[in-house]
Amino acid sequence: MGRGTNPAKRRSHDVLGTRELRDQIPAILRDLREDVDSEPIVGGANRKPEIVILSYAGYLGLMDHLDNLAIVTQVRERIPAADIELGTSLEDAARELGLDPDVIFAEAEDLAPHDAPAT
Amino acid sequence: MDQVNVTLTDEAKADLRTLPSQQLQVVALQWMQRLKKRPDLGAPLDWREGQDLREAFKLYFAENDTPLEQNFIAKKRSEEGAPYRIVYRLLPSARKPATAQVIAVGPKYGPEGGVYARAAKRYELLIDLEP
Repeated sequence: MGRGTNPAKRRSHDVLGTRELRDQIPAILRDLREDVDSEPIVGGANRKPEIVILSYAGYLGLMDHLDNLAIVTQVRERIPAADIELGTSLEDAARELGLDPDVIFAEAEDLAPHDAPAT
Repeated sequence: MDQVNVTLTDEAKADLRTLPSQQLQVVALQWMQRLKKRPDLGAPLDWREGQDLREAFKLYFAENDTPLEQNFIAKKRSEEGAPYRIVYRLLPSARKPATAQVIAVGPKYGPEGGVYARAAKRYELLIDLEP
């Protein structure tokens, strides 16, 4: 079982029974219409979680997110590990620009922490 | 505060190359050098271009800056006073940073949306790619 797919590890929801669901459909629709990011509604017979109701916009967002995760997984598999590390050191970046770090950073040798942020 | 490493992403290095003068490249690198001892030197960012950049920081710079001078004091600038920005984040956290990673460098405004638009796109990708 993949990470995050174990229902026991997910937070629990209040589960509405079928009668409550039926009675509350108009209110649920109104709530989802007013706030597409509101919590999904979980329901089922005998309060056993069987269905989830969420806004259509929320559903589309969820599908987009899943697509993105799939893409990221593919990209990770294709990019060598070194390429997703933190990058190039300041000194190497200077050299790549044809600059000598010993010269351009020379004045920093005895630099004491001081001034305020440049805002 | 302990000294931190400063690194540049490939995109940030490409940004450096596109700065209009070598003097600006040197000034930008010198500001980054300052970050080694003062990773908190930049001002915190907020939401930009629909991306949460609250974990990132910005430094303003201009061609005539001399950030490594012993007595250099960064003056408070108007929005138009310092045309260039360095955007970076602190890893593993802003509270206990070990690395300042520069994400984007360049003018605030530009034909493709400026430095913050680029930083926002890259920041999102960096977060997605992190294990």
